[in-house]
Amino acid sequence: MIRKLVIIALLGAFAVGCGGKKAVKKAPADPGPKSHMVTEVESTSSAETLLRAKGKGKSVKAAIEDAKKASLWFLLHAGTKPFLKNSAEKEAFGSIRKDLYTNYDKYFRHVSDLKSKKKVGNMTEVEIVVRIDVAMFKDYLVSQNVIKAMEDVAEEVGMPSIALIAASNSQDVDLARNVIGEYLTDRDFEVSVVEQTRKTSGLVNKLAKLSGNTDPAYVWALEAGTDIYVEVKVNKEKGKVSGVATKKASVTARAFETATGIQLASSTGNSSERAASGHDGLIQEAGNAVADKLISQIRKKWLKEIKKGKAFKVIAFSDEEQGAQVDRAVYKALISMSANKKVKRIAAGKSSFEYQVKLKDINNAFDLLEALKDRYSGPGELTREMESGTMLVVKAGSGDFDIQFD
Amino acid sequence: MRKTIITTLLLAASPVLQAAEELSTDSTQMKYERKALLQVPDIGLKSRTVKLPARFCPHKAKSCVPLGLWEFKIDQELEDQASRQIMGRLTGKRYDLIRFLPGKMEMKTLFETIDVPSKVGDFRFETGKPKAFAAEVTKYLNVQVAPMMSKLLVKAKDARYQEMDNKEKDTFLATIAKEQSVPADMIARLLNSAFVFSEYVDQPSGSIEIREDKVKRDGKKVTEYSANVSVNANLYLGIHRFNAENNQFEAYKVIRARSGSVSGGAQLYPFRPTNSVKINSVFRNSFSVAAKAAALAANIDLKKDDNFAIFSTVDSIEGDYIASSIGEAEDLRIDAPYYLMQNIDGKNVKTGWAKARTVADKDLLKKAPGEYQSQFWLVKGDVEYKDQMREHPWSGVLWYLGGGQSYQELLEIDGQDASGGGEFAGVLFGTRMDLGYLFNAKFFSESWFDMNVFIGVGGAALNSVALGNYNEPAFAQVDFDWVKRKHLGHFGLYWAYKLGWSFNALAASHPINADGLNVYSHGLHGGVQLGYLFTPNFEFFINTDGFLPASTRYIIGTDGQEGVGVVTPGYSINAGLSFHMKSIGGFASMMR
Repeated sequence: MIRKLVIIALLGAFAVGCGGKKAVKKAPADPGPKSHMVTEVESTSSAETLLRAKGKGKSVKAAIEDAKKASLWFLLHAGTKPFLKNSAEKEAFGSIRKDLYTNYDKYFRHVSDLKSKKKVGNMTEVEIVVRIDVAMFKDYLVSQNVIKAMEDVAEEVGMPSIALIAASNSQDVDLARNVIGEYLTDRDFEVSVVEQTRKTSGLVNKLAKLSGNTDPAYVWALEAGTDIYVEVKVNKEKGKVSGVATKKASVTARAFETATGIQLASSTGNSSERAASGHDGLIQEAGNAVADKLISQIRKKWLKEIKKGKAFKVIAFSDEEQGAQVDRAVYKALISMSANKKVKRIAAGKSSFEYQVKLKDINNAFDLLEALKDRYSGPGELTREMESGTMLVVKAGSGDFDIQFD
Repeated sequence: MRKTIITTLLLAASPVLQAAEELSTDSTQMKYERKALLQVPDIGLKSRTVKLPARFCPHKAKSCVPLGLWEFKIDQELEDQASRQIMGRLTGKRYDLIRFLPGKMEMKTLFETIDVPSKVGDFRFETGKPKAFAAEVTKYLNVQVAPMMSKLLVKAKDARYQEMDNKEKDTFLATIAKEQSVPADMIARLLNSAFVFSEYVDQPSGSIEIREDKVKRDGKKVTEYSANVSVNANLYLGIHRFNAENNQFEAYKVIRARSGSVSGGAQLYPFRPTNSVKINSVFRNSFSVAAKAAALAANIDLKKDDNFAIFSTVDSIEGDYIASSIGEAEDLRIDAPYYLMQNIDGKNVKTGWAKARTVADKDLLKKAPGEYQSQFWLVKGDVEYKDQMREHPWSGVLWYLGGGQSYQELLEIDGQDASGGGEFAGVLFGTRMDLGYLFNAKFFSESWFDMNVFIGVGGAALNSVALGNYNEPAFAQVDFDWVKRKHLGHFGLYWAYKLGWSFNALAASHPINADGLNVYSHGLHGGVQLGYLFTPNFEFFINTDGFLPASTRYIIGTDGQEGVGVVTPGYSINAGLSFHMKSIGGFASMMR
């Protein structure tokens, strides 16, 4: 009897234990933003940007915080220049995601009053405009090993030197150049502002013609010897609104790889139309608008191209008798140096030959000359005629002869 | 030749939204932006001659004697006075004032004065009909004023842009050029929204009553005459809109407003006035107050238009108080009601309402803009940070209707026993006004002035040893109370304590004689009121009052035997509904 009672009691306890509610662990709330609706308003300086963000929450305060998080999400993942560019960086971000979306106020220089407030269902939706210290935010990501510092990237792959060249000689373009130059310098690029008051050398002019590129900016770039050149143009407009004179400015910037002439980036920034006394402020506004976009494009393209190696332009001169042999020898030497065994033949005549090649582990034209000499098996020897950045001009062959442009 | 000038108000409405689209607020966060107002101080009239029916009411006569029509003149001085009254009510600190000065047209913004050379001629309109007046105004505006207006608005745009929402501009605008130069979309809004007000006063109506009274002064019987002139004025407020694209004014709307009866012109004379000349000052005062009342009513209708109403947002909530960045510069008044709104599922919904308790000084806008905030008490509903606030057009005056019961008994007549009276059931009507709002004084916030009339029947017949027996009396009570309201939570409920003076009358007819017995008493009146506020315009209330007689007198008939009496302290319980009064008539004279 007792045994039966014990069994019944045990069975009962077992049934209660199984039938009772299991404690369900509540999944922790996702600290990330609910909203992802953000638009870029303006890059106010090289270190700050203005965004308009929408946020959602159960209360106004929660919605504002959501909007702030959304703006950080935008900088990380969206827009024209997201900070996280590849899967490795996105994966690395995962480890700090919670920390970021919990402690983020320090990146905000200013949060506006509400621009909009609506209730949709049981949620409140707000819109705010925020000014974010993007430089500080990037430093944080670098310190957490999510993205590489620009300096590290520069050290690893080598950041290009950039020449800023005005499309026309005017104070307006100089102003636009200064704005873009400020952004480039801040992003650790080596910047040269080419003054077009100097004369370009006759040889450079002829070499440019040899390539078939008569763009003055290209000539200046060759003269400056930079990896990339950016041509800056300013357009000013006048208008009238309700009888009031208004002004507007736009800045167009195009970036080219000097050695190859390939366009790396192109962007136009516009100012608002305003009743302004002059165009300076508007040019600065347009310059701010174009600089950030341009740099993002340059960086992206450069990092992509640099993996294939640094681009060089090689021009070899010889005399007509030795021309064919020189051409063959120089071409073979360059192929042997090229990682993908590809050399682009730009122009070839009887005594002048132009090549473009991408080379790894060659930093400048001097290194290229030394390497080329080691591999040259043609008639005579190679002597330097001119080197400038990524351009090398050599005389090849034996005997004394003058450079002839075919 | 006397000029007839029509009052015009040029209102340059600046837009509600901010400059660049990316920095702009949408319709859920609208804020008031100062409008510019051109003032030409005069009004249009249908006629300079006003004829009002007059009558003479002799002492204790049962009816009055008609005296025919008496004629009054609206001369230039009266016209100017009325014009000032109208302007004072239609304009205010919320506007940047524009005016014509010799040789120039000047605009005073919040912090600056801008002017352009001007050769705008006078407007000439002889009296006539409203349509003719409107046509003349349009012609005058488009031919003479429009070119100058355009120049002034262009010149003033920079100053007015700088005064707009300074805090947000300083924070976000990256360059000095941006701070100082007006964006194109703002130019369009600053210049393309300009309004003209033209006021036309239709033929006033009303009546004159000359009353004769024989009273005792210093023991002597004297005859006095009082003249009461009541005037009703109808005001047409014509609004034109300025189109900066073609530099022309276009008709926008017409608001018609009535003053309500203004009978504030009573005056005593030792002689009987026999023509209008002798009571001209009474008419002039009534007409002037009627103009003011009509303008007040027009202003209420004007504020129903979003272009002319104050919008703001809830900037903070601290305890029971809401703070918002509006104040004296937006003509905010103590106890002014503001609706709270939210955008819920795509619709703007009223979620509550509040009343102003403090008004920020406009000097703070220059000294400490961040401190320019006024405090509101949430009367009813809910409030949330950054709810939209919208000015509710309000006069501060309500009329009410109700019913209830009052009690008063007769105890003595000429020192001898008397009886009668008791409980009376009847109707109650009256007006109440928010003194805080009318005087715009914080001290009077939620202090109301109630003028109550109760008329009831049902008491026992009046009997006295001294005078004999009379029939069942009717009872009338007129109370003047100061009422201090205290809100209970934020549910629209309030309670109030009242203190004032009451004038009561027991009037009973004689079973046989023509002359009845009238017992008049007056004394201290006080009580408690409970109320529920549906909206700022509609209330329910319950009163419980007491009356402590100070003096009681009786008179038989109208000039028969008089003496002293004693009545019991009384009480009354009544309830009713209050309704907003747009045309406040004579109360307009109290408005500061």
